[in-house]
Amino acid sequence: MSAGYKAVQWNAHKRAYDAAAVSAVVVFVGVYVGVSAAALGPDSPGPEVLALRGLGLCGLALLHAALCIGPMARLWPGLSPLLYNRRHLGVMIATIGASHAAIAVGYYGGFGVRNPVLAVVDSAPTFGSVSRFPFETLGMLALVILGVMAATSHDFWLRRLGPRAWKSIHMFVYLAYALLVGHVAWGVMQSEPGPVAPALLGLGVLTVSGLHIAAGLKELRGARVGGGAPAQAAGDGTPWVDGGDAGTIADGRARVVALPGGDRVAVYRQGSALSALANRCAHQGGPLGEGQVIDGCVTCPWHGYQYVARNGSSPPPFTDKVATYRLSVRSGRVLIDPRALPPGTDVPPTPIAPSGGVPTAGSPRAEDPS
Amino acid sequence: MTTADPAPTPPAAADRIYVGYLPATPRARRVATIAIGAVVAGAAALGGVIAAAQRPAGPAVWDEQPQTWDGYVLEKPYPMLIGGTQQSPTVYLLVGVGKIGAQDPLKGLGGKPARVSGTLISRSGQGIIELHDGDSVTPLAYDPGSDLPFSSHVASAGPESRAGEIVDFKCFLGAMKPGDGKGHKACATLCILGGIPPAIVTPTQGGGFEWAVLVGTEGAADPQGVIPYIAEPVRVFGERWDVRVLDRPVMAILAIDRIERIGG
Repeated sequence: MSAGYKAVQWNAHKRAYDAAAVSAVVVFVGVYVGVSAAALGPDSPGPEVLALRGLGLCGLALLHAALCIGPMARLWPGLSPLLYNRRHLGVMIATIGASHAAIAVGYYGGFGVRNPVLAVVDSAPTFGSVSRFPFETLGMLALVILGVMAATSHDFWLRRLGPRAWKSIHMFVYLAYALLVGHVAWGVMQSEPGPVAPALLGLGVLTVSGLHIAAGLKELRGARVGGGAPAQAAGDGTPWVDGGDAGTIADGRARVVALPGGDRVAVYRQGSALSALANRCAHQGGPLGEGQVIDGCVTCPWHGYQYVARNGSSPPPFTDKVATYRLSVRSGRVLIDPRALPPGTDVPPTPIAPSGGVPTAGSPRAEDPS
Repeated sequence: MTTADPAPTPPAAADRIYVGYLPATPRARRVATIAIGAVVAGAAALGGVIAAAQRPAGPAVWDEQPQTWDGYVLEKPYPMLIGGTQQSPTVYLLVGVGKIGAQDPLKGLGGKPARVSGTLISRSGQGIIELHDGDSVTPLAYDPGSDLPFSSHVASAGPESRAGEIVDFKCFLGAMKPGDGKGHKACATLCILGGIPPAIVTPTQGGGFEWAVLVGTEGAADPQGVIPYIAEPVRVFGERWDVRVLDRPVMAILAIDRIERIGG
């Protein structure tokens, strides 16, 4: 969390993360170049081509890793340390991709009678043919997307653009991934016959898509779909939503409840009381309900952004806010007013009534749902 | 009806979720250590597997040691030097630095003796000379006592078709490795546009290749005619012409009648 902006706010974890990522890049490229020279001897590709291929393949492998980290951390929360510094991974991928493109443009497009960039993307274009589609164009488009993502990855842009717009831009990573799969399928796989390239690429696509599907299914199963409770209606007739058994929410943890409109609410328990806030972190949309109460604050599992549960506001000096919701507990069941309150609205915690106890309303402004 | 109590136990400190700016829990440290090891080992394995699966780029060599050659220049359809001796004639195509042909430095020297300086790019016994920048061509005086193979002509060998890949001959012989395939298409296109001779190459048993320089129907260079077909499996139909030195064929030239893509 931060109240101001620095280029990079380093800490020991980020340094270790980046060191591991850089080590993996160096090892990949080093082994690739070394094995190429050893296995092919004088028939090995030239040093420029080895660098070009090594960087391109490394960037694609890293992109697979970056895309898998998100769903893996959802499926196995213990892996969340891998998620923490993913933006640095993204910047690294864009840098590696730009290096790959620079070598390709200089080596294949340079030393001639045309502009090097045009020579690469516009040489005898065969856009109308499926089998002869110019793979360079796909790679260039992907690089543009990755470049925009890297350039806007800083929290400065996150704040300027707003979390939704920022997230929308960064969802284009999936388009970039599809373009890069095409770049390889129409490029390397047509130049390098053999089963290894298609097998590895197919395995990568299956892994990325499989993990995303599995994480989505887990989220669908995990989020309690709140049903309407007709007997519980707010002043405008909106039915309150049944959020399940109040007593089974672990202290310091939350239950995520899907509202009829699709929004999700994180119902947190702190001691013997409940508070509800939007499940989307104001930072990057992280799943607050999968977080934990740490030092008295709801803490996002993605980057540790914190909020006071009763008002959805980050503790001073931070200024981030999320919407809050009014709660009621009736006969041990959590009831949620589905109308989100403005971010930062204070809602006193709702005590969990003892078995068979009298329901209590969670807000001084709340209409008694009974 | 459910009960609210007893309340579940709060998570122990060791079960705290990972938060980057807080001291790592032992569990997070364990995960990070395993993950780093797995990622680095995976990177090594992946790099090795991909490298070992590559196709060989071919036994192409660019000898960067400058050399000089004496011979007779042929300007058309592409600059070449006929040298060696009368007993053992040689022929080398001549190209400029980068992706530029050697047409300009050899202009007006057709049929005349000259000394050229440059570097030799060769593959499987076939070479091409890249001229230096600047004064790389020196006209020589005619020497009737020279052992140069001065008698050369071009003769038709009749209709012929060849299957293979259209490449720029400079890169294919070793200016780039690999100098063929779709990954090299943009470069080959640029080379041929710049005046480097296009050729159709056909792999042979043992890693060798047969080749013929490609020209238009009229026997002149025709880069636009081959550009749409570069780096694809094709069959070229046309009339073959042989460059003959002392009546021995030393180079095949295929005057294109038509080109068909193989497999669509």
